[in-house]
Amino acid sequence: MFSLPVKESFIKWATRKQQPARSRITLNRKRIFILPTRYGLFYGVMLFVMLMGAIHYSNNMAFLLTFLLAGLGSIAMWQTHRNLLGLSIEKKPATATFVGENLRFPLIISNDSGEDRYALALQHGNAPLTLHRSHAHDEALAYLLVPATKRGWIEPGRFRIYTRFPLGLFQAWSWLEFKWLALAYPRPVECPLPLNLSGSEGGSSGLESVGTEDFSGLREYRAGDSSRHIAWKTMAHTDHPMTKQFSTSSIDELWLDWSRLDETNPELRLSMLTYQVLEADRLNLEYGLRIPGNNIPPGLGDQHKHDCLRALALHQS
Amino acid sequence: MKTSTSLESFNPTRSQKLWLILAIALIMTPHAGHLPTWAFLSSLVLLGYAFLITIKSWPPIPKLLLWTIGALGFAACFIYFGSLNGRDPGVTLLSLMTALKLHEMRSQRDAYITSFLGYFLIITQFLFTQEMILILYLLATTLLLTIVLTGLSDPSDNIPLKKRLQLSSRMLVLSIPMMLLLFVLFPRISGPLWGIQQADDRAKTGLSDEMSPGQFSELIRSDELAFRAVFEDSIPAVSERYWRGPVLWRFDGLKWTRGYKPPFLLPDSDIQVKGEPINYRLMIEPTQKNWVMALDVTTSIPSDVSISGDLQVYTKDPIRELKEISLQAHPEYRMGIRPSSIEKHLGLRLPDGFSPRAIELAQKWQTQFGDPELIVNAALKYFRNQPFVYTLSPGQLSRDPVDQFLFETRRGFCEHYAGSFVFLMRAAGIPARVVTGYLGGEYNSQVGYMTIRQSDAHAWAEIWLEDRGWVRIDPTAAVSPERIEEGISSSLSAGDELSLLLRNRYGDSLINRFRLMLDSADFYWNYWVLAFGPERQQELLSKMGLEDMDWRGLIILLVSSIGLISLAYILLFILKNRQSPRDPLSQAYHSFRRKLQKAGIDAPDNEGPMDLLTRLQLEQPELVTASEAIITQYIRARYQSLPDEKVTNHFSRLVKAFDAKKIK
Repeated sequence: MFSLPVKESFIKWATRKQQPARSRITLNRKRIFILPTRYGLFYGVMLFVMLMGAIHYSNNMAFLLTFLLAGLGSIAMWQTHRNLLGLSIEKKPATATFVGENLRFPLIISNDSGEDRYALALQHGNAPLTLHRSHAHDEALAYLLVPATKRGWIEPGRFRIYTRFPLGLFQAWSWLEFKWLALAYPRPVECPLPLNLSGSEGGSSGLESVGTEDFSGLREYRAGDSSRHIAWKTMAHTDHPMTKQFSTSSIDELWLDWSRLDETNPELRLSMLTYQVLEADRLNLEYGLRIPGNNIPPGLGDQHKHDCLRALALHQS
Repeated sequence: MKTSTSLESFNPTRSQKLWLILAIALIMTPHAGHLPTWAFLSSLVLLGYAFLITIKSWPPIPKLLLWTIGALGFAACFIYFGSLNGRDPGVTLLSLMTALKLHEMRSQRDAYITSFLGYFLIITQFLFTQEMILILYLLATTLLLTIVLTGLSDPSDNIPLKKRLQLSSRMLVLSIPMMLLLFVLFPRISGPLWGIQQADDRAKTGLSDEMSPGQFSELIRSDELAFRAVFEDSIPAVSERYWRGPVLWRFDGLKWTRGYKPPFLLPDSDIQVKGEPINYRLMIEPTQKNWVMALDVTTSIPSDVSISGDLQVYTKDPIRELKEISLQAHPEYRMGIRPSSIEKHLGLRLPDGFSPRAIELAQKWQTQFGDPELIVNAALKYFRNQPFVYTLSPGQLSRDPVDQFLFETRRGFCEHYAGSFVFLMRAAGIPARVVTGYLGGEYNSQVGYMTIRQSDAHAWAEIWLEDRGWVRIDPTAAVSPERIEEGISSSLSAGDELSLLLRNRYGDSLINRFRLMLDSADFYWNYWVLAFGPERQQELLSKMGLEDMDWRGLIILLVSSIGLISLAYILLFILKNRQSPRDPLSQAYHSFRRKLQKAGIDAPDNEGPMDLLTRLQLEQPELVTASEAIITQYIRARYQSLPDEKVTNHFSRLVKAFDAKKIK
């Protein structure tokens, strides 16, 4: 409808008194805008044509219908406005996701009024919208979808909640903005895990033996044995997992290392490392991450995984 | 939760489509009466197939075929009507295209367009008829389309149907005051806005400006409303209810036509009146003609109508919608003392070579009596004394209607009497003319209006006498005086077929009372709704003390009234929201107190439960056992525990079982 700069400056003007909210926004009259949709405009044109017809034919029933529809239109406008009025929107912490996917920013829409609110659409930019219903005296969990376009912190900034309920002739909306961050991890790019099972022979192996070679023998794998102690070499030709026995502790560790990747594009390197982190986690391998400026010692578990992904996401190249 | 990139990109769901099909079907139903059969049937088939596609997943019509059907529809319309312009082809095309559009429902947009086409289809219905019953049609179809739109506004189709029904009806009810305000206050201009309206070519029963034998007997059989009259103070006597229509001057031996339209009457015309005028307002049903049946004789007309030298009232345009005209009449009058030479000449003209026997008879009277008044009496006496029968089935008269009627069949209806009487007068040298119109009218004394139906159609004669001017002579009266005094149904012989309603018109039967009730409702509808126009608007405003209001004033009044209504609505909703709903526990306790009050026991709102119990122990000892259980239970549930559904339900049951009156 408007060219982009005009629209932008209008939004700036309209929201000039609104600061990004800390956690909760209540939709009051100042925040809600309303305009006819294109169907509303078409409806208006239709009413005008009907009115002309009614006058032309001096047809009083045509007048009645036209005026009834005019009344209906204005009631619909009011109802559309009321459908947003008084709703409170509260932000919740967002979970991180990968570049290329949509970040889901959770919101609690609470409705203190005695009436259900329908067809509440949340939309950020051109991202897909989500539709919600908010019951009377109840809270509803909604998600704002924001496409993760780059790794690092994503701030959704301004977004819209809008509705065309009940007749679709008008659209009421409100611009909302929270102080709100979510992390976008690099997009995983498939690549092999740096698993070189030839022990310490090759320098390019990601597995390093730490500790002394007090290898005392093999025994049958038993549930509960650490995966780090599985004798992978033996397993390759026996198919039986065997557990290495050490007299003193000695751990083969998987290092996911920036410098060992056969790739020069730093973003692609981060993506590959992301994939490796996910893969290692999936295989339940203990792994560490080594990127310039950051060294995460080997570990396991969700927290470890997120630490690694976070480091990758926030890496300053 | 549903996601999509925009609200438009949702496809209409099955239930949304079904509601739309239902709405369009209901909208189209009354169009059956005025669409060409082929068009209505095609629309019906298209609708039915759309329904089957939606509900039974039948294969959809391919796009190419849809386009072909559309093109065929246009072609068929053009062939059938010879044009695509005008009301009938327009409505036919509109219904065909709407039915076709139901087969092209791929997006929200398509659904909206179809709904809007539906609104247009509703409004075109009123171009055909505006009967009161159609207000139900209007409300029902608008409600259905509103339900459709509520569905479309939530593409996820998440709103329960009950809620949609409730919401749609509430919105509709709330828009009715706005509708009424706009109806009354919206500045009215009289149409048409552009061009000249095409005449309605459907045959309408009603008076024409021709008279040939047998024509009136057709009209008489119709119960259809011709017009209504509302009288301001006095109503005309039964024998003076002559409503003057076209005056016919020219006779070609078979048929009477106007032949001549005298110039419009000048203000200093030669009408002399006596007595009190009758002021009345006509509400004329659409006739597609521009003449008005006015009570004899019209003495005052509004500015938008005119009156001709033979005292016929004309409107500027043919009457296509219910038309309201205020007129004044004087039942005692003299007119045309000095008629123009054309009038005198035309009033004596006879067709060549017709009715020699009638001419002979008239000339015999002329030589015998000489005096015109005596000749008139002789003619009336002839009708009275010879075996003339007043009947709806006079038999065929073809060769020479006047002679055949006067000397052979002697069975006739008003047109035969009037026509042959005028013929005789002219042949006897007295200027005469035929006046057609209506005679009579049924007065509804409860509401205060008179209904004139097609069955009241009548024809009479006017003759010119030297010092009395044009004088009305009704030869029918000579044969059947009841026709004038009592109306058509009592004047006819039993063999004549008349509709049941017409036969029962003057009784006090249940049917008749019911009929009068319906007629009154119809009258109110016509009076308050259909006849409302620019004049009535001004009249209403001046009654409210707002005289001479122009459109600007009206707009201001309109806007401020709508503002007031909106404010009232907003306040209503604020109040409704303020009242937080009572919880079930206090609701039950409230109904307990109500029960006490009903039994005549004081139980004010501000009295606490303990106080109430103490007082009951003193004042109503017989109630104490039952009340004590309830009150202690209430106190426990209210103040000594957390809300618990079980406890509340138990308490509600206790209250329900409590009956103060029984115990007393």
